[in-house]
Amino acid sequence: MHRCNRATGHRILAMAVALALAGLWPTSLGWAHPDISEAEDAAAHAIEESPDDPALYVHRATLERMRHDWDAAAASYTKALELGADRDRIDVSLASVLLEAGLPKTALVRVELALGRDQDNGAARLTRARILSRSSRHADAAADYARAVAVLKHPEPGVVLEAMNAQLLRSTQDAVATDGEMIADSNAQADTREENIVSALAVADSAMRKLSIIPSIQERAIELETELERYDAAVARIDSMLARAPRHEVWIAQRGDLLTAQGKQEEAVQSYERALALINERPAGRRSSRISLLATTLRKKLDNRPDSEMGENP
Amino acid sequence: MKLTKNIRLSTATAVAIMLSAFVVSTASAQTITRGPYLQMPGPDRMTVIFHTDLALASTPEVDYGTTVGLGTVSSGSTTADLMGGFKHVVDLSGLSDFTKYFYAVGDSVGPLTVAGTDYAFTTAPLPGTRQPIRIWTFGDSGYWPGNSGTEYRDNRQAYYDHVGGGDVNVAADATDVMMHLGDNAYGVGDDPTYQSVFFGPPELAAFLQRQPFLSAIGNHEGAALDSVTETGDYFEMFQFPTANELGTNGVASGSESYFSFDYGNIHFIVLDTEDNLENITTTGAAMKTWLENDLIATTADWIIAAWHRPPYSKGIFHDSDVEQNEVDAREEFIPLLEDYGVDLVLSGHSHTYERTPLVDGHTGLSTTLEPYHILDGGNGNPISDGPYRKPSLQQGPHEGAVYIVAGAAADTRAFSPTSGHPLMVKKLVLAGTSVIEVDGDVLVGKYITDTGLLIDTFQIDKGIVTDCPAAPLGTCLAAGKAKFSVKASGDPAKDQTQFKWVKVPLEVADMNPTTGTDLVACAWDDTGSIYGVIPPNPENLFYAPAPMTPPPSWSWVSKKAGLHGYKDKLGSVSGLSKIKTKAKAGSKGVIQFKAKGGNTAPPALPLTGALTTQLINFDTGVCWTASLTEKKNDGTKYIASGP
Repeated sequence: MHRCNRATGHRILAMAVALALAGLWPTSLGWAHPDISEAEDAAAHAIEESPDDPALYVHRATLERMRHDWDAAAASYTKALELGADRDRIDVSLASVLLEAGLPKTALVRVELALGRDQDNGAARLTRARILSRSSRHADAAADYARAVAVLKHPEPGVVLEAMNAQLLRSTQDAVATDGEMIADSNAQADTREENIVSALAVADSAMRKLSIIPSIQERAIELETELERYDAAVARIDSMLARAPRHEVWIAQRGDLLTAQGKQEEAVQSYERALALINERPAGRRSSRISLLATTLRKKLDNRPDSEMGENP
Repeated sequence: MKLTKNIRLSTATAVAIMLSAFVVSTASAQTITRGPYLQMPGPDRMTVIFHTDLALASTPEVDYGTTVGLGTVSSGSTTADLMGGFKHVVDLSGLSDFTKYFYAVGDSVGPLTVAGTDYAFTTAPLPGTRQPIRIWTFGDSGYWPGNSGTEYRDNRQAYYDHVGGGDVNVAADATDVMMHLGDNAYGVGDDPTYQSVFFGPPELAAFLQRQPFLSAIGNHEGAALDSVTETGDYFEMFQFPTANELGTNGVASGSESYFSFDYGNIHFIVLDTEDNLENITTTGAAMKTWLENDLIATTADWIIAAWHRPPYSKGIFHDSDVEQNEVDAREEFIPLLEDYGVDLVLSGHSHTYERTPLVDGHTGLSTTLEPYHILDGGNGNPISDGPYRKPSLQQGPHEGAVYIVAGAAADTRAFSPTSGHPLMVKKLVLAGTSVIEVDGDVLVGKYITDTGLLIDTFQIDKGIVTDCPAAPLGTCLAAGKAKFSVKASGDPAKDQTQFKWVKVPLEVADMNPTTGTDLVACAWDDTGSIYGVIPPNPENLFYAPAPMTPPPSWSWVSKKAGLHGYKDKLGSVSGLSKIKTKAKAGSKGVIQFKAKGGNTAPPALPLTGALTTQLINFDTGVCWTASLTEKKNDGTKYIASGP
């Protein structure tokens, strides 16, 4: 029932035989966790045995990239391309290497080859966004980031935050040379902070439609909603998180803060009391530093509320 | 597969039909080239993945049911795989929790596997369920083809022997969670390497077709993937929960590189020590934000975290004082995890077995290790030093955690220096895998070598407070002579208390507080428990009540075999000022505790009625008792001795 891939087996066998003949193949005690140079040696021998296998050059390029040998990595990727490796993948990889090497303009040319074939290549979009961002073409970068989040099947939360941040920088017009290469920002415009935030929130929501509600994204969105004083929207976002984690004291307390900012004191107090009650369900010895601090803060807020007997503003 | 109607006739008929279909399909069409293997194990779901060399006749199907008769068919989707064939994914939903299901994979023409007991899985229990749970965990099971994989094969068999009498099916059924710690395949962890060393070996494939597994990303996988875009072979092969799909009281991570899930009363947290940790201030920041929210949200009894690069290790190639990812893992993750009461941290990377005692707060280099980082320096073995004890059943911040490096699944490497990491209570250069068993409030950790030796056992008991019981224990050894005194003049600076037992049948082997004997001294009068002293030894330092907690520099002194003591010569400590335990054959042992100053917290005087004092060793259950006669008992002073 279980049939090994024949081509793979042959390739690995070839590598093993080559190294064994060269006296370099590790014994069980000698080499099962090689460092990069050892792995590169193995890759080189495998390439000697199978010089027309593009996957081996991609493998070698990955290793060369790990030790920041950009020239070698670029050469390996180029060779893989000549041998028929996946063109889109190689173009994106090469663009990333060129960017890492401080050559954004050249990187841009390379990644646009991939985008020329497929405008919805998410990895290429993201790579171009980073190239443009590195080149201070913030408006163009923001557009690419937004598109990347939209087309990537599963945009990582870290990428989404990066894309949201790019939206906030859209109006920054400060093209700066990067290692001698400068790219003019074709799409720069003086967006307002509010417009930028709205764009960032749109990116967040675009991502969460695919990912579900992700707190690391939603928390940033709440910060931005709050900055715009859109408290109802911020509360709705908090509630979306609490729907999955109903006893999250920090979010319940934050909900109270948002309601306070809206002047909804009574509801805010309910949130504070709820958060404090949940904290009190944790014995004193079972509270983290943050939760302990929150308990203190909540007690102060409740003591200082206008209708509190202990309040400072009766 | 359309087998339902036939199977309802009889099991025998159904099996015959399936065998017939199998013969037809395999004779004329596809061959399974990988799997089936199981992913995304939840209380109500499972994902079945299999690869074929040729396209199926229809969408892929899984026929499943709670008997070998199967009966329910789910369809999935197909994509091209990286071997030039096809990958088929079928999600099964609406399953019952903690229920065994049998299954067969195939298409509308018929099954490609034979229905029967070889293809089965058990769904997870509901989050919070308290029941016995066994976890098989190890890292670095990958190997180069030239390394033959002998040790990994032997490790697998040793585990199958240990839990399944050598039978892979029994072993798989006896396993609840299979947690890989990364570097599951070497090279750059790409699809061909996985095919060769991970999916290929038949005895492992047989396990994987009935036991789902989860994994952390290792550095070798990291080379062939991009965590940021979740692209690369690793993400093509595996599916991990990103949106609480498996049932958890944590929060959604949105990432397959780091995630959490619950199995019974355990909350598992898997972190990425590759791309996301390396970019912890940028794209990786989302991981840390998620981690704290996840920890706030969980109410599970146990928290077990897993990642690849160990926070503490002196593996010859992976020194946690030097390797940046290991330093970062220690500095970024541990303060947060310990603040929320993590119980166990699993990692691999170094090809060793390294295991700490119960520790907390050690985030610096190994040279900065202090005695107060070790909350219980014993080996945690219930039949020698006794188990580690944590007072809180759920999150208990800074009550201590055990850290394990289990990276010797396929290879072993030396320590450098050979003495290893000073934090470790176990340091072994022996191939093996770890087994973690949780039952309610008790966690037992084991290390099984590739030769089948059980070479380390530790236990963590939760919800256990080693404090004075409400009444004296009934069966204790009698102390020949004892004394208890209290001074409480009203000036806290002059408060004093003293426990003393002499002519105690205390043998040298009975007690060694320098390595973690768990003691408590107690006094009762007619009103019940009136006073207790928990001497701060490496094991129960944490349990010392706050006023009695000694300074961090406190430590026992062992003058000779059987004689251990502490004396605050500078008089700087308000609280325990002198402790002495002297073991001597012939019932000549002596035990004495003295406390003085404002932290003494003496009982309110006068006391009421008869007084009993006892010294209890919680590790062994041995106790010594004395009934004392009152000599003085007024509002400021109490003295009693006897018998």
